[in-house]
Amino acid sequence: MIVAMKVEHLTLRNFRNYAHCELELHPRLNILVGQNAQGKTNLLESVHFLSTGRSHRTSNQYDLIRWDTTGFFLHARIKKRNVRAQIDFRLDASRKRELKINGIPERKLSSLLGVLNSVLFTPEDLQLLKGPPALRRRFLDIELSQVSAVYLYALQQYNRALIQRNNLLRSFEGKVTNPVALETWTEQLVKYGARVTRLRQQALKALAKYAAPSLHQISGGKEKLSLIYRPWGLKVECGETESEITRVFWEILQRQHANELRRGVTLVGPHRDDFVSLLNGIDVREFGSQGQQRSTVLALKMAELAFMYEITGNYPVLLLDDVLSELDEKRRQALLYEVDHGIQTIITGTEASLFTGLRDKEVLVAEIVNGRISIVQQ
Amino acid sequence: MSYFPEHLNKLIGELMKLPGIGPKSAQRLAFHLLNVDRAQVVELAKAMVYAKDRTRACKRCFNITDQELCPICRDPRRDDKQICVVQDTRDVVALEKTREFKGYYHVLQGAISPMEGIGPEHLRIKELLQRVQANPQLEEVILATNPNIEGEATAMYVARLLKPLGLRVTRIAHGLPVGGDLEYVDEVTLSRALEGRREI
Repeated sequence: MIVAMKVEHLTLRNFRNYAHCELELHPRLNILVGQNAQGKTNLLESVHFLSTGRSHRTSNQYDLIRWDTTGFFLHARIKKRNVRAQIDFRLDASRKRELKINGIPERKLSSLLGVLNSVLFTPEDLQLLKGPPALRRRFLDIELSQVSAVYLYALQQYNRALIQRNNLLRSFEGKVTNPVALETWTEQLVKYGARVTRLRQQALKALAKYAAPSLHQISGGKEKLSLIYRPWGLKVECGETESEITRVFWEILQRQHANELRRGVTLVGPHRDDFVSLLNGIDVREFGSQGQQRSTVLALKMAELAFMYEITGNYPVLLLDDVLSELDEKRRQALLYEVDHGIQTIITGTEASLFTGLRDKEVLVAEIVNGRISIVQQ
Repeated sequence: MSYFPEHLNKLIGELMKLPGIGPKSAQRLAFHLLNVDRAQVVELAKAMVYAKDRTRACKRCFNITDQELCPICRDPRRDDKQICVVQDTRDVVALEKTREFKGYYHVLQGAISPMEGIGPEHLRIKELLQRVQANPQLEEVILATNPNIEGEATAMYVARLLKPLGLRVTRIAHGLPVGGDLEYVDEVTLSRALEGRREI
C-alpha cells in the first residue's frame, strides 16, 4: 500500500471566478472537464496555493480575489496516513492575511510548507528544458522549499545577501573604497550560497536517480537520461561538501573580482545555477526532438513525486493541468500509469474523451461551467 | 473632501505620521485629545518637547541619555574589561534586564545595509575603535548585533577591524530557546543551533 497525501475536502470562496465551491474529492482520481476559461485551472491553483503559499500564475495575491468582492477564503482538509490536517487561508483586500493550520493562527506564510505537498504539471512546464535557466531554478526551488525549511531559509538569506552585495558593488563605482565591507558581504553570500548549492546538487542527484527509470518506461527502454548540475551557471566541479563548495566559490569570485567591480554586480552564484539533461550523452535542450524534450520533462515531474516521497514519507498530490492533450498516446499512458499508482490526482481537460480508459475505474468526474462544479460521476 | 475644521485635520495628519497609526487611529486619538482637560493636553505636549530637547547620545557609548554620559557609563562599579556592541538603545535595555552583563556598552545606531545606503561610516564604528584603543585594560568585545543578515555582516565587519588590536572578540550564540523541548523547535533554528555547537 502506497502512502500518499490526500485532499479530502476543498472550500473556495470568492477565489478567482468561484463565488462558493465545496468539493469532496476522491482519494485517487479526480477528473475536471470543462471548456476554456470556466475555472478548471483556478481550482488547481487553489490547491497549489495552499501547498506552496503562492500562485504559479501571479505574484500578486490580490489578483486571486474574485472580481467585485473584498477578499477570498480557502479551506482544505487533508489526510496523511491516518492523521487529518486542516488549512484555512483568508486574504482581505483591506486587512492582512490570516492563516490557520489545524485551527491555530500562524504568523508566517512559510508555516504552510509541508502541510500539503503537491506537484503541479502544466503545459508551460513543457518549456522547462527549452526555456531560460530561471525556469529550471524555480523548478528546483519549489520542490526543495516544500520539503526543506533549511533550504528555504538559506535561499532567502542568499537572495538578501545578493541584493546587499550588488548594492555595495554598484556604490563603489569601479573602485573598492572599503575592502573590508566587500569581504564581509562576500562572506555572507558564500555562506548561504554554498548551502543552496549543496542542497540543489543533492536534489538533482536524487531526481536523476528517479527520472532515469521513468524515462525508460516512457520511451520504451531505449534512452538513458542523466542530469548534470551547472553550479553558478559554470562548467565546473564545485565539490560535494559545504566546505569544498565554499572554497571553490571563493576562488571563482576572486577571479571575477575585476569584472564584478566593472559591472557593479555579482557575476557568480546560485542565482546563475542551471542544469543540463542528457539523453544518451546528448544535450536534450539543444539536440533533442520535441518528443524527447516532452518525455524528459515528464520523467522529471514523475521523479519529483518520488523525491518528495523519499524525503517526507508521503507522496504529494499530483495536479495535472490540461497536459493530456499535449502528449501523444504513449506518453499519456505512461503518465496515467503513475496516476493509477494510488497517488491522489486532480486532472483537467477540455474533452471527456481524453479520459476514456480511466472512466470505468473508481473516479470522480466533475464538469465545470463558469465557476460552478457539478458532479457527473462518483 | 474634508469633514473637519482645518486645525483638526492638521492634528490628525501629524498623528498619522507616527509609527503604527493609521487614519482611523489618528482620528480616535485626535478626538480623545479634544475631550480631555486642557491641562492634560499641555502636559503631553510639554513632555514630548522636553523629551526631545533633553535626549541626546552618550558621548562615550551613544546610548540615549539626558547628560553628557549615560547612567551606565557613569557607573564606576561596572567592569571595564568588557564592551558589548549592540545596534540600538533598546538592545541595551534588553541586555540590562538579564542582570548578567556587568561591562559597558557601545551602541552602533544601526546595521550595515548597502541597499538602504547605510555604510560603516554611518555607524559609530570609528568611535568604537577609538574607545578600544584608548582603553588598554579592555580584554573582550562582545558582538550582540541582531541575528539577521545585516546584523551578521555588521558583526563580521567590526570583528575584522578589532582582531588586529589583539583582544578577544566574541559573538553571542544563537539557537535554542530555553525551557522548551527539542522536538518543538523549528528546523531552521535547530540547524543553526547545531552549527553553533560547542565542546563540553
